[in-house]
Amino acid sequence: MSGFGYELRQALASLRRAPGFVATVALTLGLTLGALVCMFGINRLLFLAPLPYPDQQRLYVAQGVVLDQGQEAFRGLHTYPALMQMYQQGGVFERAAVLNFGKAFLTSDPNQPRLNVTYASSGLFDLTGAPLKLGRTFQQGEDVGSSVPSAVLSYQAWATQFGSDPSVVGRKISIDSASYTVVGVLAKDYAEPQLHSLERSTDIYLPWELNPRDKQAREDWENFDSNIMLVGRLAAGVTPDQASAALTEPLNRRFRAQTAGIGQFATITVEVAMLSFAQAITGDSKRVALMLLAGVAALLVIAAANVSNLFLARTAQKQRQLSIQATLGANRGHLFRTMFTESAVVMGIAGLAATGVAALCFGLLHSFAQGKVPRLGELGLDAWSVGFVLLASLLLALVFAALSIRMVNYGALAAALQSGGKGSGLQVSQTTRKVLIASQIAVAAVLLVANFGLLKESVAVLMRPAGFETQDLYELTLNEGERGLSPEEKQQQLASIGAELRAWSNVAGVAAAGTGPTSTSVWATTLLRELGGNEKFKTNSNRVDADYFNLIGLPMAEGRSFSAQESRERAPLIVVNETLAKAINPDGSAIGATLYWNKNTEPFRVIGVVRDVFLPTVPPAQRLYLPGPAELNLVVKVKPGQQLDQAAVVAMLAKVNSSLRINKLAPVQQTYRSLLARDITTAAITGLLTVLALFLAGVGVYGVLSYSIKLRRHELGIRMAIGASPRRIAGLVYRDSLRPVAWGFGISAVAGVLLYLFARKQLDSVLELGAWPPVLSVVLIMLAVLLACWLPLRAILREWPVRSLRGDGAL
Amino acid sequence: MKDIKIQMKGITKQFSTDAMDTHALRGVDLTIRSGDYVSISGPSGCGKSTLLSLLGLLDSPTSGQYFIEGKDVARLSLAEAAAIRNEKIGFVFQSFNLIDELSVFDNIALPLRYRSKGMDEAEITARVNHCLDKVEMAHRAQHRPTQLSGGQQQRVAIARALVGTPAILLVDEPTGNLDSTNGDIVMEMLAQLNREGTTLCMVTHDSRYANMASTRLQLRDGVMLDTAQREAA
Repeated sequence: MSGFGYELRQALASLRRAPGFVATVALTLGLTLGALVCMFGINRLLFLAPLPYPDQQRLYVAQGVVLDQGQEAFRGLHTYPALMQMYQQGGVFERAAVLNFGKAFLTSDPNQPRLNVTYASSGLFDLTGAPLKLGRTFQQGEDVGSSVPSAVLSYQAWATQFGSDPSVVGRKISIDSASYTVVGVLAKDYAEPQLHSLERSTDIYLPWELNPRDKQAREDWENFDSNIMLVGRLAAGVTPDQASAALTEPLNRRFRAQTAGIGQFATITVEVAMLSFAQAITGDSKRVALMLLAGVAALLVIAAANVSNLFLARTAQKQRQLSIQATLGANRGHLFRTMFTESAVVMGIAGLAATGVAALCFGLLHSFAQGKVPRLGELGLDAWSVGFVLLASLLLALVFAALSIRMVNYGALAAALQSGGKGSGLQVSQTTRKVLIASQIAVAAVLLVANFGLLKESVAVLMRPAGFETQDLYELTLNEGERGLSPEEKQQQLASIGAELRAWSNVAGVAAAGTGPTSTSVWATTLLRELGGNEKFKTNSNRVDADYFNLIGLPMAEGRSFSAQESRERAPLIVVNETLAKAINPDGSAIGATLYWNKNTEPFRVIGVVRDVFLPTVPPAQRLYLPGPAELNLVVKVKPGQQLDQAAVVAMLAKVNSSLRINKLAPVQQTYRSLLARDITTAAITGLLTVLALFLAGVGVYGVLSYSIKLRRHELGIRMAIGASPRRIAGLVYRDSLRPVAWGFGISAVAGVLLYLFARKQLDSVLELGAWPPVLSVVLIMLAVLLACWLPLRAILREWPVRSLRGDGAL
Repeated sequence: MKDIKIQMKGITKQFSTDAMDTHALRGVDLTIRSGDYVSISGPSGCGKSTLLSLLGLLDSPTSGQYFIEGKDVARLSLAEAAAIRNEKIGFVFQSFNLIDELSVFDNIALPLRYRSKGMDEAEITARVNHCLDKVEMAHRAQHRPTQLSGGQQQRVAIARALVGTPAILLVDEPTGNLDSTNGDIVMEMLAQLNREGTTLCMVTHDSRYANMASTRLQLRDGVMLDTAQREAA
C-alpha cells in the first residue's frame, strides 16, 4: 500500500507539471465518455432493463390488424364491439384492461383546461402495480358495466390543476358536463406505460364505462378506432402465439358475420397480434438509440486515439526518467506500474468530468426530449451509469498505460542514458507512424461522412416544404357539446361561424374541413375501381369545402376543386392527391375516373388532382377529398401580421351557440413546428455530434501527424546536418505523411462499403449519402492534415539543425 | 603556403535564458589550412562542441566572422547554410547519427541526393562504393545501422561525411561511444584520410587522440588558449 501511495504521489507531482496534458485528456474523454454514458443509459433501459411493472414480461397489447385479401392494410385499430368481445373472452389473459384515450374539459375549473383523459377498467392499475400518493384506484364496482363516476388523478394533474391539495380525495369535479368524485392520486414515480404515444400522458383516469361512445358506436363493427386498446397479463402457460390464435379465430368469425353483404368488407379479415409492452413502448426507438450509441462510441474511439497520441508523446518526453529508473533496476512491470498510476489518475479526473457531463445530458433530455424518448422518466444517473464510468475509465487507463509501455524500448533505455545527452534521440519506426496516421484518418473519415450524412437527412426533412402554406393560418376545432348536432345543424353552425369570422377585419378567409392541414389522424377508407370488384385503393379521406385548397395554398395539379354548391350538396365528386392519382392511372390522367367510395353504390367522379402534402413523421399516403365538411373544424386565414384572439373567438361562439367550446385554436405554423420537433431534435443532436466529430477528428489528425513529425525531429536534424534544404525536408515530410493519409481514406472507403453491404436496410432508412458528405469530409480532413504537417515542421525548419540534433527547445 | 579552408575571427556564442546569459565562446579566432589535422580539446563544458557546431554551420554565431574557402558564411540563411553544409562540410558525430530505416548504402548516398544540381544514379553508386571501400564496409552495404557494431557505424558515418568530397571533415568526439580497440581503428582511419589529403578538425577530450593531430588547440571557458597559455596549463 505504501508502494502504491508512493506511486500516487509521484504521479500527482508529475501531472501537476503538465496541466495542459491533464486538461486536454479530461476534456476530450470527459465529453465523449459522458455522452456515451448517457447513450448507454438509454440503451440499457430500452434493451436490458425490465419495465417497472409486476410480471412485466407477460404484459401484452392485443393489437388489431386489418387485412385486405390477406395483405396487411392497417394495424393498431379495433372496433368497439370487437374490443369488448376479446375483453370478455376467457382463457387468454389472467387479468386484462380496456383503455380509451381521449380528451375532455375540466369544466369545474374556471379556465376549463382540456386534459388528456383515459377511460380505463380497473385492471390497468393492477397490471401496472400503480403506486398511490393518495386514496385508491378503481374498485370492482367501478369497472366495465358500472357507471360509478370516480376519477383518479395523475400526480402531474394533481400538482398543476389542483395545487397539490392533500384533501383532494372526495372532491367533486366536473369533466365536460358530468360530475365525478376524485378517489385517488397516483404517485409521482408511477411510470405510465406510454402505449398510445410517447407524447401523451394521462391527466385523469375515468371509468371505462363512462367513455363518450353512444349505443350505436358501441355496436358498430365497421368503424375502426386507434384510440381504444386491450391490454393484459397472459394467463400462465399461454404463449403470445397461442393468445393471438385464441383471440383471432372467434373475432374474425364474428366480424365476417357482422359485415357480410357490405361490399367494401368483402375481402377484409381481422387478426389479433400480441405486442409486448416493451415493444409497444419502445417502438422503433431502439434502432435510433442503437445508432446513437454506435455514433457516440465511435466518437469515444477517436477521442481515445487522440489521447493515445498524447500519452505516447508524454512517454517520449519521459524517456530520461524512464532511463534512470531502468538503470537503477526497474523492470518492465515497475515501469508499467508507474505509467498506469499516472494514466489512472488522469482517467479518474476524466471520469469525474464524464459523470458531470452525463448528469447534464440526462437533465437536458428530461427538459427537451419529453415525449420523444421512451421511459425517459426512468433515466438518470444511477449505479449503472457510475459503474459504467468506472469500468470505462479503468479500461482506458490500462489501454493507455499498455500502449505507452509498448513504445518504450526497454533494452535501449540504459544505453540512451549513457549517450550523454548528445543527440541520441528516440527514433520511432516508420511502420508505427504510418499505422497511427492511417487509422486516425480512416476513423475520422468514416465518422465525418456518417455524421454529415445524418445531418443532411435531418436538414432535408426540416427544409422540405409542407406543400401548403403555414403562415397566417389557424386551425379552429370546436366541440359541439353534450347534446350533439345533426349533420344539417353542423352545416348551419359552420356557415354561421364562418360568416362571423369573415366579418372580422383581421380575417382574410375561412374554410371548413373534417381535419386541418396539420392533422396526423387517419380516416381510413377504401376506394373501389368497380362495385364489387377486387381492385381497391386504401385512402386517407377528408371532407372539405370549396375554399379549403385555396385558403391553405395547396395548389391543384390538374382539374378543379369543388364549387360552393357541390360542397353544400355533397355531390358525388372527389379530389385526389398526386400519389392516389398515379395509383388510379399510372400512365395518364385520373381526371374523369369514376370510383366507388366506402359503402356508396353511386360512383364518385374525380374532378381534380391536388399536390401532395408532406407532414413530418407521416409517411406518404393516398389522400382523397370529398365535398361538404361534416365536423366543426375550420381553417382561418388572418391578414399578414394579424392574430386570432381566443377570448374573441369564445365570445363569438357564445353568440352562435353557447354549447360550443374550443377544442383547439392554434397557428398552423406552431402545430407544424411541433410535428417537426422530433426532426429538429434529431438535427440538433446530429449537428452537435457532427461538430464534436469535427473537433475530435481535427484534434486527432493534428495530434497524430504533428506527433509523428515531432518524433522525427532528430532524424530531420540529421538530414539537415548533411545538407538537406528546408524545401527538401518539407517535401519529404509531406510525401511521407500523405501516403498513410491516402491509405486511411482507402480503408475508410472500404469500411464504408462493407458497412453499407452489411447494414444496407437499416442505413437506407436513415441515410441517403449523396456526394457532398464524403467530399466535405475529405476536404476538411486534408485541411487538418496540411495544417498538422506545416505547424510542427515550420518550428523545426526555423531552427538551426543543432537544436533538433540535441532535442533542445519546445515544439 | 597551403590554402585557407576555414577562418574564424572573433567568434562569440551566447545562450540566453530568462535566468542568465551563458557565454559559450568568447572571441575565438581559428584558421585551418588545406590538409591540416587540427584537434580541439578542453575540459567538459569549455565550448568544444559549440565551436564544432558553428564550424559545421549547424548553428549561427552571436558575433564574429566566419569564412569557408574565402566565402563569408557567418550570416547565411538556413537554406544557404544547408547548401554549404552539403557541398563543403563533412560531419562525423559522436553518436554516429545514422538513419535507422535506411541501409548503409542509402545512408552514405543521402548527401549526394541533396545536391542542388542532381546527380545521376550511376555516379552516386560509384562514389558511394568508393567510400564504402575506403572505410572497409562494402560487405555490409545493404545492412541497417542497427545491425552494425559501434565501430562499424562510425566508419559508415565517416564514409557519409566523405562522399561529397567536402572541403573539411569535422569530427566530434569520434571515439566517445566506442571501446578502445574500435576507437583506435577509427582514429587510424582518420589519420589515413588526412595523410591522403583530407582536411580534418576534430574535437576530443582524449589527449592520446588529440596528440595524433598536427595542430593541437585548447579551449578553456570559451576562449582559445595560445601556445604559451597551453604550455602553462
